[in-house]
Amino acid sequence: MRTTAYPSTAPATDDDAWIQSSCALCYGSCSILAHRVDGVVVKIEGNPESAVGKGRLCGKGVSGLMTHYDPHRLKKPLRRTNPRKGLHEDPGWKEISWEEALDEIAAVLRRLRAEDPRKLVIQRTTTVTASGMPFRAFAGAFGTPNVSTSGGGIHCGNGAHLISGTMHASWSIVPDFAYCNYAMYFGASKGHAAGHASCSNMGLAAEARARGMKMVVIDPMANFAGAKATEWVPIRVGTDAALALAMAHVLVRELGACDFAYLQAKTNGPYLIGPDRRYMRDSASNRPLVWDRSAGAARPFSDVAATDMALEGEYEVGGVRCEPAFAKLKAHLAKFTPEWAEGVCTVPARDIRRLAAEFAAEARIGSTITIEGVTLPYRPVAAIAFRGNQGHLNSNYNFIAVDLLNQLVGAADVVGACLGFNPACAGFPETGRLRYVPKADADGLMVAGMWLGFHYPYPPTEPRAPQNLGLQDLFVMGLNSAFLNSADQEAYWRTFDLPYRPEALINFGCNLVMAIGNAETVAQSLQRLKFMVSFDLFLTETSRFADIVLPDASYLQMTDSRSNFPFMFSLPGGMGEWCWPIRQPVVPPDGEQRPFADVLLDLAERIGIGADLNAAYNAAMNLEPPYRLDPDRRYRYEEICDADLKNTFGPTRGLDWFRQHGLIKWKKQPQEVYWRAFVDVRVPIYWEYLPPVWEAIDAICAPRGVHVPRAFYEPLPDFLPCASHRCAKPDFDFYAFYYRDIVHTNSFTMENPWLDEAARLDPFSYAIAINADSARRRGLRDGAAVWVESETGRRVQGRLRFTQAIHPEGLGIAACAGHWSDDMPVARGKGVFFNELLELDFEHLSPINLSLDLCARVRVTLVEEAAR
Amino acid sequence: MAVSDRHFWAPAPPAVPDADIASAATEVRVRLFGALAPAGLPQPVVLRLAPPATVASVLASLGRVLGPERVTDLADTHGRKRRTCRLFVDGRAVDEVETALVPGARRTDIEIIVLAGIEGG
Ligand code: SF4
Repeated sequence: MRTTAYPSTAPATDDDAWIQSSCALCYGSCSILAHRVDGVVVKIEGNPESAVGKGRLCGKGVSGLMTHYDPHRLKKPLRRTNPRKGLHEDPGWKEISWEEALDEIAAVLRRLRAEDPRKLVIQRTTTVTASGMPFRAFAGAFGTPNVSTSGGGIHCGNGAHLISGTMHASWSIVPDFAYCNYAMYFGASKGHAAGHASCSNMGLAAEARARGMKMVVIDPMANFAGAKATEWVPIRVGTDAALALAMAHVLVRELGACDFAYLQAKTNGPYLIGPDRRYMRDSASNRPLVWDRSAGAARPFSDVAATDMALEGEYEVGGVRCEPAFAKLKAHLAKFTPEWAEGVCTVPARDIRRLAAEFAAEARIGSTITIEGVTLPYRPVAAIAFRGNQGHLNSNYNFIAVDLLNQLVGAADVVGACLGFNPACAGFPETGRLRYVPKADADGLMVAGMWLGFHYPYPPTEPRAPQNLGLQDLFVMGLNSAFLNSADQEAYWRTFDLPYRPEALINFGCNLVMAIGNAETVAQSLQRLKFMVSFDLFLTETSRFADIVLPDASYLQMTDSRSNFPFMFSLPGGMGEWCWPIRQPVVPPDGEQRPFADVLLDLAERIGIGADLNAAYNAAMNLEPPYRLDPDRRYRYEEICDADLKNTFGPTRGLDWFRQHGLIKWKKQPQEVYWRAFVDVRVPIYWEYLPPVWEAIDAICAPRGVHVPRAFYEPLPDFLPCASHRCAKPDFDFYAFYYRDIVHTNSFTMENPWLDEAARLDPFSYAIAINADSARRRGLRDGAAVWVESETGRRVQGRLRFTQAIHPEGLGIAACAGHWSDDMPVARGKGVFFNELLELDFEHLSPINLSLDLCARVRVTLVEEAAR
Repeated sequence: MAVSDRHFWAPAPPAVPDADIASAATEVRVRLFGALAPAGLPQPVVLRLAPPATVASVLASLGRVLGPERVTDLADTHGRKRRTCRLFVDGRAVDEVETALVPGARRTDIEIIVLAGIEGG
């Protein structure tokens, strides 16, 4: 057995130390200083030395020690004695030794690996960002492609990440707070205590507002971002594409307010499109053709100066009529008038025109600015979006339509504009490592230089008959997939002749039965598994389905060499510093708690995949000689972290150096932050490659009777309604949605007593926000207990809270609340379990990127009435 | 519009192969891990590749060893290496299948593993 000796970091007396480490109460991973006195963590503060958080913590971060010292923390492995599994079954836990636990797990995994390693599923929480690396390595070593990131993953990013990656080479987008003068937020909370680079962005956003940045928040509810906004624009749930397309209509067709130089040089706007909706291509080089206005002829884009490329007009090339992509876009936008959009999204047409005109004026098209001696394009406007915008059936177009506003005025990764999070890095100066930059493919379109996994947003992977349980190898524009837990999973697996079924689940900290959709469907998927092991801090509703529960170490008890890498995830964008902090133990594990990464190494050895795991770490961390792990040697996770750090920062900066210094940082250069001007890549304003993706998917699906709507794969964005928009049932007159509560991370922090107290002080955290006028018209009372019932008959109970700060048709529910397990006594019975209203089946997934439709058309009934 | 200033991001110039050894066959030892290494597969897989040997020729030869089902994990139907297929030549990551192996009698060690593509958050 491989064991880990923990240094005694906590002498019994005279111990008074501030330890530099990283928070893990959400995926922001802000840098912290943990104050330890006599072996006890007494306070957590932000680390002002770090660019990750910039010395700030949110309420969750300062409350982290209450999660760490939760009296219900697990201290020994548990095995269930009750073979029946169910939402309300008592597992009959019995404490067992680590030896017993790991032997039993290893026996199951050895059998599965011999039969078919794909029978193993790994789910991990997004909260501990650094868990990505060890679980990615373990999955690769074991040989399963079936990994997922639970609710945080399925709900958050399938549209946002793919489109941000395609357009900005980054996981997400944010205004360039230091220079932006006009930011439009479409269902995003960047800078308002949630999301990527959360605490850093809080400070940056506050400074930007104080400087005078106008912030327009388009959201069904004026909550955290809306409360700080210059203007809140209430919008019907899930209709962002309609508003954004109407604004694009005004920019292009009414105002002619476009950055034509940008469109010529940095987009595929000039590429000629034939009647088959595909690029016209040069017969010799196969490169897309543009119309060269100087030569009066079609030529490969790479042979023509951008300023000579036509964006409009009709041309004939080899007898074929064609138009530039921009002309196609302009014609396409004709139908999206503000008057049309008003009928869809409820924002008045005159406001749409005003917002578009403001956006255009503030963009200062054609202007430049000099930063640190470098003259750069200056476009101080940004339209950003995130979960609220993209958590719908129309996820893809919702996000594309919003980013189109940036592209039209050239406000992409230039000063003041919409930025990706650090898509280009010239590398750590002393070693040259960490150097990455977007590059062009043969069509001139941008390929991200760095990505969080290996499912790059562009170019799309070739669809194949699915081998993955989530079907992402068929629906290649999808990231996380609900098919791991959906009601119709078996039907689809059978349809596609999937040659295996899941048998075992390794769960890391996810509360799946609450985090994905309605509990019943997820529970049934867990019941179908033969074996489940769960790494947990404390028992949850989901641990009840486990056969074995392992007591995990908390973030204050573990080491990680890359708590905040890659930089395009959570290091703030804009000028400032590159910063690489680590996580290190502040106190040792209690009882028999063990850090998950070491447990995975131990398990790998017992299964006989130790060499594979070392190779997987080499591959996942990009370790190079002399720091590559020897496949045939055994390592502790700290040794792997040491190799990772030396590989990146040189032989003198291993784990010991980082334990002492906490982090390393160096200055960003303008050419890195505003890379778009320096890197010869283009992005699509005409998504020429989507119809062929649909054709390839349809060729696999149609013969099996699976209909994949083509409308989701068109080259130009559209508004496509959610199931909730199509509901015609009488009395179902509200759109229920959930939003991130800034005092909670998904369902996880509900058990933290300080955060619970903060949530109870907030009138909305545990209530159902409803428009006061709409509610009164229906005879509802402020504070009344109500049933919220979906059109499919699922229902949850909660208390109404009247407000004017919500759309008249909206019903806003905070976070992922409503725990029912006795194992979570603080959280139990608090708040409303919104996800119970969500169906988990193909009909409610985006047929292009598998995003789950996160809105539900509902009826609201007084509990007392329902009882009568 | 600011124009390209390529020097800041210019890639390192490609290595020029030695003409004397450019015509010799290359011995490649491939060690496979994870899903690519079913029980019973003798390791390493030794390939002798005629010049000009590239990563593409390694993948094509491996396809014959591993069989059609596993090959789809390595490359798509156009022979393009999948992003999830992580391939290291003498310890250095290689992404482009056109990458030439150092020609000549010198042994080349390759490690390949397939990692899950998906992440979230
Ligand atoms: S934003 Fe997230 S990582 Fe940062 S302090 Fe708050 S909980 Fe911790």
